[in-house]
Amino acid sequence: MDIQLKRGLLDVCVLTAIKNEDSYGYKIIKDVSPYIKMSESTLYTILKRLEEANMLTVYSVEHGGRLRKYYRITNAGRGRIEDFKDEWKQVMQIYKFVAEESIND
Amino acid sequence: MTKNEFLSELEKKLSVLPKNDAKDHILFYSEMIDDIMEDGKTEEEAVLEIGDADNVSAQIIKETPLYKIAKEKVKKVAKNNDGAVKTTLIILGFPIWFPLIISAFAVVFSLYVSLWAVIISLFASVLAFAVSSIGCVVMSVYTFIIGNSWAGIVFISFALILIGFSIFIFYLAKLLTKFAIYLVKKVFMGKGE
Repeated sequence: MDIQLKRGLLDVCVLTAIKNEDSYGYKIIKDVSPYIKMSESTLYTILKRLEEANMLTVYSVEHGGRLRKYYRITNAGRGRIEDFKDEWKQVMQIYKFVAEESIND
Repeated sequence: MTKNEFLSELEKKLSVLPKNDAKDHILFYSEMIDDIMEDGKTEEEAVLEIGDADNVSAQIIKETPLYKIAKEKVKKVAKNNDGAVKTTLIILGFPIWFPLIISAFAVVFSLYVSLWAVIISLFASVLAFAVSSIGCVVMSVYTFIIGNSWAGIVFISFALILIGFSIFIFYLAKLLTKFAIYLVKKVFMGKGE
């Protein structure tokens, strides 16, 4: 997949993974992996970027004798998800056009 | 490879980064490995899943902005005190290498400043061309009114030529501005993914 495209998709995927409940690193990767593969280093960068954009916040919770970082979505993050859904409604129309036209080839 | 082996190898490779940045990354991977193990995998499997310490550190470094790496390197050189000879040589050579470094920075900086100067003057000429174009339109209307249609047509064509120049130079200036901003971004932010 095109790198730039994947980058934009991964941002919203991570946000979606924490939309309904706060989540932590590995769980986010697992939730997203049926749909798109993401390495741990990539996740780190995405989480950092989303945090700087105030789309999520970070907090630590004690878990089995160690600290685990949890991520919580913000309203800006939810807004980004909505923007994505709107943008891609149009993309799906375009896909229908491309797919159908190609069948006629 | 055990978790601690992986983490210390990673720490070694990330030594070019500022200590806090390196620590952040190592904590992140430590936590990740713990979570993978909690999910049912063994320590070996968890480390394998993260990948090669070489690859991981290379990717981390690639995404770090240049200025952070440069800053850390300068810090290290300043701290590096192995041997009185080395230190003495550096001190003695100070009148030579210090002005050289200053002038290198000065050259780079003045090149960058002149780029912006060019951009500003281009935008100024965009304005100048646009204004003279309007002037020609005004003159053209005037000459048409007093009955000299030939002069009127000449003025209109000048107006068109001038506005053409204005638009062309505007896009050129925009392009240069984008380039200048790209240069700033490269130094202060990472090269991206």
